[in-house]
Amino acid sequence: MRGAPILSVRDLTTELATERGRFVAVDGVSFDLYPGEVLGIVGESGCGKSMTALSILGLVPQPPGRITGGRVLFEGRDLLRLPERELQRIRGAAISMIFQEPTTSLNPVFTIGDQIAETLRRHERLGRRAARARAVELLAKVGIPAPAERLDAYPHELSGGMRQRVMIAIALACNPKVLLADEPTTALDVTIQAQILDLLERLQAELGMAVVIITHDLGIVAEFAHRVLVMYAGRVIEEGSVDAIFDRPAHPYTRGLLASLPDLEGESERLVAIPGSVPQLGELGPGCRFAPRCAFAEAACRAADPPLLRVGDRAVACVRADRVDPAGERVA
Amino acid sequence: MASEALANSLGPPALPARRRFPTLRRLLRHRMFLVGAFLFSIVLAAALFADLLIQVDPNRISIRNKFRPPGTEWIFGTDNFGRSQWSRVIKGAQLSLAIGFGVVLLNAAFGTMLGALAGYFRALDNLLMRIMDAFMAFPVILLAIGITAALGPGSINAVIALAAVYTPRTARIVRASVLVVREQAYVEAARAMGASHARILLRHVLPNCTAPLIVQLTFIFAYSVLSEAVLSFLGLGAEPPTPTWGNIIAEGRLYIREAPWITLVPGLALAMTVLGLNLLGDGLRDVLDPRLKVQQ
Repeated sequence: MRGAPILSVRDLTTELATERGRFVAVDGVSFDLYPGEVLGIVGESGCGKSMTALSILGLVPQPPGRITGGRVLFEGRDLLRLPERELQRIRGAAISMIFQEPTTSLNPVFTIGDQIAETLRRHERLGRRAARARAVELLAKVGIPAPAERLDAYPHELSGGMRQRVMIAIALACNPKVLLADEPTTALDVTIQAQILDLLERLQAELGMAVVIITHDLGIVAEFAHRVLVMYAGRVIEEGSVDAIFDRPAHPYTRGLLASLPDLEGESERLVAIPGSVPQLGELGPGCRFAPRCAFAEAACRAADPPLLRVGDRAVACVRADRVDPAGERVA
Repeated sequence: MASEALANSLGPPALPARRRFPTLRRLLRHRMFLVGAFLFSIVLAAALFADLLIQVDPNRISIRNKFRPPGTEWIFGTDNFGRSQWSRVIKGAQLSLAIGFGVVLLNAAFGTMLGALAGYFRALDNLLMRIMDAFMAFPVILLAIGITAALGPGSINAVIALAAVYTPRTARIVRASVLVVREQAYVEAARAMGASHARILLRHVLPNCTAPLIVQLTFIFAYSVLSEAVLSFLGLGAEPPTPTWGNIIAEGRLYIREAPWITLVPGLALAMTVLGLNLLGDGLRDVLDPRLKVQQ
């Protein structure tokens, strides 16, 4: 499955200007995405996972946002250095994105057929008739019943799940090589979530595209992703295969995330919460960002922010990474 | 039979029956809108069918028949030159509505363009809107008088002056809508799908800003009919003998005691048009943009 990565993100740094000063939303994030791979990015709200995706496509609103450093290599080109026109040619064609709010992601004044055709006409230069025919195929592909009739429906006539299917149809219209899915199921009912996830999984296998799925739902990652990136306060703190991370989390934060999931088989009655909250901007000290909430924090943690280092089957940013027993007991 | 019914019930769910023109339906239930539409359509019909309604040339002077009161022979009476008031007021309606329409068109074009640019390209916002503010600092009529005085009297110049005076208001309203719409998720989604700025602005932003614009343009129509009457009353509109409501009133005011109908008829026509358009605008606003109703 490996080989050359299709998308390489190196030291991506995105800042946001706020009234209280500059705030680094994405802090030196690096990762590789391989063809046909599903990469999950997890973390709490505000950890920079959405900003990472927006930065890749140059969609960070500026101002207040600004990409201050790094590279995003795609097909031998650095997307961060590309002029806007070139980026427009890539967006929606080679790299597509779907968003969290299916209810508002469609333009209310045009039919869904128009909106699917728009992307096709823009990127593939299809004629009106051909674009319409492709739109019907796409709607069928994303599991919308009676696609030919739905083509002339307006977004408000469809349910949230249907709208997300339409968004997926638009995103996949030009057979992208990479799909960035930013919390694609968060706004949906649980039953619909499962359907959309199944759909994404099926389409991913069918089209062989690489997917970055951004979510705070570890269940989605466990089910769908091959590899996972855990982010905390703008940084990647752990990275590895889903099996490795879920079975033997190394970073105390990852462990906390997993411990806060309900265990359907176990007997434990209370969910374990991570004490404290995500650091606010300006509260960041020199040390590890998780140290204030970490049960294992020691002097070294507060002295310097640990770099992301490869430890066995994963990469971890924790000074104690090599001393932590997989079972979660303290060794040292 | 039963299995057939089952098969049918398992088929794709039918689309909900779409009600055609829901906005139109709600408008037709709005009483004030209907009254406004009625008043305005009388004036509009008079203007459109002027040639059928007018038997006597509005400029034919007949001293023998001067100051005839309204009656069976002269429906709206005659003026100090014995000209038919009926003909002159209907001709005036034609000109008033044409000018109002011209102002609305120019105003829509420039107001939308400036408002859209200011709202969408934030770098232009301050520059454009401060220029608009400077325009709005002048009283409307004074500025219109100033511009017409500079350009010279005439109906074309009146249209230009009034369009210039009212454009900042429309620009403000369009800008406000654009500021809201540009933050919508579907605009971000369109960007993510590779749409260009021009495409986003023309296809995704502006079509979602039309409701307040339509309402605003209705009011602009009313104001410009009224302002045009003021300009021609002051001798800055179409030049006599071309009849306009403003210059008919201006000429008639010398005889307001002896022949009040000379000023009254065009005055009532003007009131009817403005009232009609305002009621139309109120109705449109209630139906298209319910949020605005409370503020006012």
